Amino acid sequence: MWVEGGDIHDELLDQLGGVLAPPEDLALDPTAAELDALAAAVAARWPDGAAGPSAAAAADAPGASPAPPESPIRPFRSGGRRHLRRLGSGAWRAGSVAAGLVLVSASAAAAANGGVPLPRPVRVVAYSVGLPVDSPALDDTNQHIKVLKDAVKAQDKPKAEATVRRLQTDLTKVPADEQKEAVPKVEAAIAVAADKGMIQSPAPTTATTMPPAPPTTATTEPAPSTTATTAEEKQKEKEKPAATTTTTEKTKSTEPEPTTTTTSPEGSGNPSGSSGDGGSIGTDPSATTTTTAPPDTTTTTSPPPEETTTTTTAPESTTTTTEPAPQPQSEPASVQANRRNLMAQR
Amino acid sequence: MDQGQGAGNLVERARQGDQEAWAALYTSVYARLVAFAHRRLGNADLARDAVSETMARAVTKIDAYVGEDEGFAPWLFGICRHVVVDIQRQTYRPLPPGLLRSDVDDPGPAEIVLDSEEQAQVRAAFARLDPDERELLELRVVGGLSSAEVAAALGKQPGTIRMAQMRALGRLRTFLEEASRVG
Repeated sequence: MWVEGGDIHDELLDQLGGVLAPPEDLALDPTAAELDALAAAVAARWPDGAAGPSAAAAADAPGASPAPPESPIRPFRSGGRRHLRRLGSGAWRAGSVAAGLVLVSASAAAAANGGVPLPRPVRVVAYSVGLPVDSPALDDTNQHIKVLKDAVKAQDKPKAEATVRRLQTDLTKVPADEQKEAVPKVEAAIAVAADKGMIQSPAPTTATTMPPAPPTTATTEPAPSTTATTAEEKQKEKEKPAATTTTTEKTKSTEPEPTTTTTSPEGSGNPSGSSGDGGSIGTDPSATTTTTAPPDTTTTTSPPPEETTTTTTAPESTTTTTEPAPQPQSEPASVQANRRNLMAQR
Repeated sequence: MDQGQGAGNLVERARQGDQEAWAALYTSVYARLVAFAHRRLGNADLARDAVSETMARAVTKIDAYVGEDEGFAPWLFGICRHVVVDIQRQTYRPLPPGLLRSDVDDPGPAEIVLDSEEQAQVRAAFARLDPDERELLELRVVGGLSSAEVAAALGKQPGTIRMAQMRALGRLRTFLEEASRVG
């Protein structure tokens, strides 16, 4: 097709306009709904209505129609709802956390006051975050005291002996501030068991080692508690002739922490190493118990005592430390110290 | 732009949130915007939605517009182009291969029957242009924009648009010649 004469491009454009023209039924004017939507968008964009001198002048100009009333149609570009949603989300999140803390604190406080017994995981968490609850070790001790009493009532001698050993293990894990509460209870329970003939003689209940302090205070004052407890132990050991205790003070002046090595003849020195879960409770009276050495301390092992009164069921010598996992005695002190530091950091 | 509404004043009033100014601007450019959107989308309802969305975006972005009433329509067309692309993305549905058309501007059977032979040739030739060339000519013909306004809408220099338009029309003419020889 040739386009002759004039501006061929203009003629082509005209021809193209005829081909590309919109259908005749296509609306050429906005509908009322579309105008309302525009008005709503404008109202949302300028909530206070027309502002500024020019708008005011236009509104006051003769012939100018008054501004249309705000459309009931909700503006679809409004960001208010989005802000509200974001604000609500944050508020809900904070509220949920606060409610959770209140709930945990209330339940922990109730448990601490003797109301409801806490499950062990809850107790561990509550104690770790510093809530006023008994330590898991003290809770274990209390439970084992009940078990011992039940065994005494049932005249179950093996169970009573095993429970006594477990109690002695528990005591080694009870924090220093709770040992004042735990030791008399354990001693009383063991004395009752001994009176009933369930065990041969009351075993010493002196805790030979200090368990790791609670996480909230472990990093702040680990050394004083150990030292103080060692002094207490020495005082108690002197009062108890049945137990033979050898305590070694710190070896050098450069070593800040004292090391306590205790050998007890009557089962006191054979903790199972577990948290009272009925693990290895075989006792070798001649076994020695090595306490966990603080950093830069030397752990020594005292010779086995001559007096042994507890019947053993496990032939091998069971050596356990206060760490969760039993450590061989050949493990360097630095490794033990690092492990202890890691535990303290938790 | 309707000069009777007060040229050089409508946009300024619109910047202040004047509802009447916005309505006047909307009405003045509505028909061309709808035609352009319909041309790109092929659907009247989608075209109207595109124009509404274009105006909504214009209300939101009016502070970013620098110019007077003369440049407002090209600015709106520039927004409308993006809105059309967004709608095309949202409404895209893959069709079976047998139903796929090679190009949205290819004439359908009904269009071929209804069109005159000459219009059919122009439509077929137009469909052979590049997409950019087609959009340029649609803004020019359907949108009724001048070369300078098309340049403003596309964000290019007017001279560049004039040269691109000449090339597009030249190719269109070539295609028409080829069609007439074959016919």
